[in-house]
Amino acid sequence: MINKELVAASSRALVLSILRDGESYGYEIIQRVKSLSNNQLNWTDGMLYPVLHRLENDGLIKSEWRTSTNGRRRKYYSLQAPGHRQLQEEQRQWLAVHDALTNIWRPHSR
Amino acid sequence: MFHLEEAVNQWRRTLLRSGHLTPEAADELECHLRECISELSSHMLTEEEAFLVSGFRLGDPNILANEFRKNRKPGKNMLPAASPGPELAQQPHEPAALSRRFTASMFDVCILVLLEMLAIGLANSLQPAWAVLGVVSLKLLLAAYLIGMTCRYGGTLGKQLTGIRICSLDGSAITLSQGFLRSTPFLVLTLFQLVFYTQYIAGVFVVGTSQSYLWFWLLVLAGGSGWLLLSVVMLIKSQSGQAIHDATAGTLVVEASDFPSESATGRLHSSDAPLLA
Repeated sequence: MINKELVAASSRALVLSILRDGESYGYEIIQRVKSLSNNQLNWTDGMLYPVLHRLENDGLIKSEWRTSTNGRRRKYYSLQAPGHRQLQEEQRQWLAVHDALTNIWRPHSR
Repeated sequence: MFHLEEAVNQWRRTLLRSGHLTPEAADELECHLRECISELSSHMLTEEEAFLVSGFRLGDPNILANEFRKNRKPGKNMLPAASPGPELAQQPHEPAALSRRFTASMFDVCILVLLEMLAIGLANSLQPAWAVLGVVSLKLLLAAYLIGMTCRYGGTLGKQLTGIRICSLDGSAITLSQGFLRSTPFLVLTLFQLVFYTQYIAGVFVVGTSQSYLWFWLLVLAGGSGWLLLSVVMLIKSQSGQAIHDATAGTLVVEASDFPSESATGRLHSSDAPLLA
């Protein structure tokens, strides 16, 4: 299980990345996060929505209410151009952290 | 017996009660809840179990609402947190339109002037003892009307008719002490008037002279104009729409349409109109 702070910190990058693969809605995004992380990243489902709304307020994603083929009303989110740029930046930063940790954890550097 | 629709509605109400979620956000969360329930229901869970688990997954409504609160930016329905205090950020009501406040004040002033003329008439026409009794009870009744209406119904007749209400900063009904504090200018004026009228009727001026009351009224006029001017400036400048007496009493004047449950005009006609007659 991953701690709360890391879950919160990675939420933006995760949401943006999932939406890069195509539009999606809250419930599906949660499912994707769970399966992508092998249930390591456990979000309180409701907490996703304030994150989505913030991203939308920042103009990174856009939302639209639609009725799905099985008759369910859902609010679909899609990535916007500023979102793509933001995602590249998030990616750069996460990889920098990842690289730093990987470098220090290499067997020969001990 | 468990009723899913009832339980979902109850859950939704809890979310909305916080005042931090828009109905649209609640819709979205409700969709999520329903999706979760229907998926769990297909896994051998009863509706009730599915509801409980789904609710747990979505998170505690109060914590969720708090998370949404952080998202809120000053907008149409919200007042900026900057002025005059952080508690205003939660204020869910729309400040009353200035035109309505003005109309309400004019209406109330007309009533006051009529009653003032009645008081002068009483003072001049009745036996001194009866005149004193008449004027004092008229003034006390007026003070009771003003404070009573303000605390009980959120405003005098003028406000009721123009559809605006006085409430505390957090949107709750105002307390008695707030009612008194807000009416201070009126109460001070009433006190001076009572002293003047009783002496005038008795024909003996213990405090001041009939001449000094001319100065008193000029002072009231000057003070009143200054107060009015400052209030108007405050009303226009501050986004919360607080005049001096609102700021001192910690009250707001808001649109009554934000209080759908309280049809105050209906209640007013039945029980409070006699106060004015």
